[in-house]
Amino acid sequence: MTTIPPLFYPTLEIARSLLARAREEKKAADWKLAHEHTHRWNVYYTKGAELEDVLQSERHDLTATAYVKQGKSGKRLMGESSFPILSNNENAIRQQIQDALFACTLTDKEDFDIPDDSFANAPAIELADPEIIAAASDGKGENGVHTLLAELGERFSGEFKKYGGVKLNGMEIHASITERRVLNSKGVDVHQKATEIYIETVITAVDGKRESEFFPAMTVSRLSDVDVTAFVKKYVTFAKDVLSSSPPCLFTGAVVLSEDAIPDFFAPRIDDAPLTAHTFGSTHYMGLARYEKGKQVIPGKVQGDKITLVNDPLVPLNPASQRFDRDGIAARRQVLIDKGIFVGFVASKRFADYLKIQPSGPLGVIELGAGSKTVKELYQQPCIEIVSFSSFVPNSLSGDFAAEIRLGYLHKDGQKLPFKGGMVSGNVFEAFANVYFSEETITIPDYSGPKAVRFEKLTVSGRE
Amino acid sequence: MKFRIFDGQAFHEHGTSWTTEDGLLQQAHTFARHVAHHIARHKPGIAVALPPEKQLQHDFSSKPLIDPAAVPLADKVAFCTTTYGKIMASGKEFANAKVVLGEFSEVKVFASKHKLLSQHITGCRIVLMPLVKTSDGDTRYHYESFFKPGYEVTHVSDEKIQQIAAMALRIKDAKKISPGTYEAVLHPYVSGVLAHESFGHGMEADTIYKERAMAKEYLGKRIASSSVSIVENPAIEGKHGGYFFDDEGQLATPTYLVKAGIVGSPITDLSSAARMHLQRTANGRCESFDHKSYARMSTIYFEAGSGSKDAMIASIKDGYFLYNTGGGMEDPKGWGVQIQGILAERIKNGKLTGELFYEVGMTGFLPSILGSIAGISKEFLVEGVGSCGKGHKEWVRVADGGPYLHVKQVELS
Amino acid sequence: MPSPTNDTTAEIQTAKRALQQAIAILSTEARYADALYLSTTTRRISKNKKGAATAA
Repeated sequence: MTTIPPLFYPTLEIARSLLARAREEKKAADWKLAHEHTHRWNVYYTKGAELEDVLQSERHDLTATAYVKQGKSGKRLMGESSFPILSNNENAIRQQIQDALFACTLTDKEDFDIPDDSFANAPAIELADPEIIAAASDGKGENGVHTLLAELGERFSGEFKKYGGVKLNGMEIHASITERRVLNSKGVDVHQKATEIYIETVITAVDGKRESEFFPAMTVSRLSDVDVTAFVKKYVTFAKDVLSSSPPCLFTGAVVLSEDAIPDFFAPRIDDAPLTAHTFGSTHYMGLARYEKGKQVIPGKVQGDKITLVNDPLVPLNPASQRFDRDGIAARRQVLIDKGIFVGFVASKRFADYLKIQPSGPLGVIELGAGSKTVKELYQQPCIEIVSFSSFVPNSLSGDFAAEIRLGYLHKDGQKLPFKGGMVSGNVFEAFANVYFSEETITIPDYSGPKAVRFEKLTVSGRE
Repeated sequence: MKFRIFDGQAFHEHGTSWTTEDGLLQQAHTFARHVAHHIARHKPGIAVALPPEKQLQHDFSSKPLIDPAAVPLADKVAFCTTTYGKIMASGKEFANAKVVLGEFSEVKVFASKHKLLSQHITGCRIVLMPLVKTSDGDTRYHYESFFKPGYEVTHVSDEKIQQIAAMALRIKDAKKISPGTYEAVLHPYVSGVLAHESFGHGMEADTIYKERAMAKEYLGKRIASSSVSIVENPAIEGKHGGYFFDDEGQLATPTYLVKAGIVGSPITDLSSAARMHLQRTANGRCESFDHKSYARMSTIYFEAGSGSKDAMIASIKDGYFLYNTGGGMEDPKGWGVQIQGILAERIKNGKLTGELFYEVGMTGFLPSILGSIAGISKEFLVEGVGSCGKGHKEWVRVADGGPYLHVKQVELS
Repeated sequence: MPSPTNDTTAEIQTAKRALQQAIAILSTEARYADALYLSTTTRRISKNKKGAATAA
């Protein structure tokens, strides 16, 4: 701790010059530095909207990577080793580099090249909220952003007070500014500045002695994108519907996904989404992928609408957007699945080299093609509608899933009856053999596409 | 590094990752001024009294049998390569295998007016994951993880490696289960997740304070038979969730969440203990210096009983043995159970049939499941590594496990 | 109570001294103040079909 200076940036230069020297001395083939600098402002409210905690922080994360080309048994191999730089002590960094160069000799990855600056023409997209940036930099410091968040908190508690039968029992509002920079020995030097606002609320619906809750969260890039009125209205309704819900009955048939269930299903922590995982170059290289380029992603006869899936990291002011990937490869919009046919890989430079394709750049917003039916048509009865999963974590490789339902509705005999509990289970790839997407679309963080999706045959567990 | 000041109602926190000793003191001055400014501008809310502190000065450290820092890197890479080779050589059907060796060294120092504590915790984990292809091109896998304070974690027998590989081969032909209510035996990996996700989260005092947990209605009341006890214990040595004191300077001791079937005291962080006038437990934990501390679990388990796994299986006419899970999600308000990614084997007439079911989900109402526990084994296992979020964020390292449980009724789908 | 080992490194000694000084500053007007120093180093080595990878 005593060795670390208050100014971070000279450390980055020390690391850069030591890595460059290792390259000049032919000890390293190449190097990369990734720097992330985050300012955070959080406010926490507990029961009764009482302020519980106010947090402000600043962190730097600097990670260096050394690459060594080597030959073993006539094969060209690439050694790669990464390490975090935790002090500005030149000797300590030099030792870390030496250790990493040794670690490189122990690895046996197939040879690849890190990107040069021709791959790093990162498009200029807006990722940062000018309001947050101004509040952070106009001399007001932490109080500037905290004041904005406190005002937003008051708007939320005021809005909740308009509704009877509900209590706001907790709320967190976080804002952050994150600057990312990636530079390497081949001239890549890319930078982005992004903002993020996270809001989570605990809504308790009360009816006499009975209580239920809804615990929604949202992430946006821009403060002005927080629609307090719409958020409160939607989730107060959900909390009250949970209160009047019953456990589900066993059901096999049409299941419609809508509201929060849609992004959970199509873009759950993105790497976990089976539909995208099989477009990954790494999955193909390891022989684990089920898709083949130019062929149907869903085997056998497909009824209903065909899937079109696009990766778009360039949606302005969307928290899923990025200008470049971990190696500095520029972001681009790319069709992954076109009307049911696999057409595009998501691949880092390394796996792109192995598969002899172009690197894709980062993952961003998952865009699903619109369908052939209206939302109204998708609700043809009887069907079950799921608006929120407790947690949707499918097996990304097999596509199997069993997810508990936090709130759903049974649409039957002209009625819409709320239920909570039970699990919807199946396999993503089998489910897409008979699916309809709505014509109407929405764009939210992580997802852009149909407002509702109808799977013709899924099973929901429940009372028999 | 982080500082906190309590103003009588709320905490103010300042976190930073790069600073000198002088810089740190400058930041302390600036931060203290900011907080004073805040207090002067804001109208007072509900006053909260923090519990009194005792004088305490101690230094703690893990006791690894083999210090990972003393093991050459080449040996560590060789372990991974050899183990990978052992899995891949045990059958032509393996599409791939993943072997991970991870280690951490964590230093924490806590200071307040009356306390000055330090701890140095080391840990090593390995993950073994064979992957197989099914006849229709699907990829499936099985995995197990192991944890020890030192490099001794790599002392895994060849027999164990072969068992893990053999299970992956069996999963190749596993089916999907028909949704229904079944009798089951839960492996410690599953009973641990049940204790953690379904029970433990509902006993976090900050969650209870926000009226988010049904547990509040059960405090001091019976929820299961007198043979059932659930313990949250950061002090259990050498486990992935362990520590000597929490991030708010509370020394680690076990807490009975259920003792002989009666729901006990919630686990607390400093803020919730003060607001609810509860005893502090060593569960105030933060993800990092730029996150707030909450009431969090560490290592949780059902206490061992007197039964045996084999006798439990033998007593079941038609049911399932639940081996492993991919994780779960809490629902403290509804006290609902939601555990997914379970690997199950059919039990018929008291015997395991070899018929496997993959990606099974478990759901239901927790008090019903706890109330239907018919047996608890003397065999006890807290083995692997876990990571726990509060909702979908605030990740901390945890462990869980315990005995085998015989449950009369559980919903599987 | 867990058993203390009471052996510390130079890093811990430095952190303790700095935190105590900080607490003296923070506690002047506050009812309660605390400070936490955290430092974690990790290493991960993995082997699969893609080749061995090490991260120091």
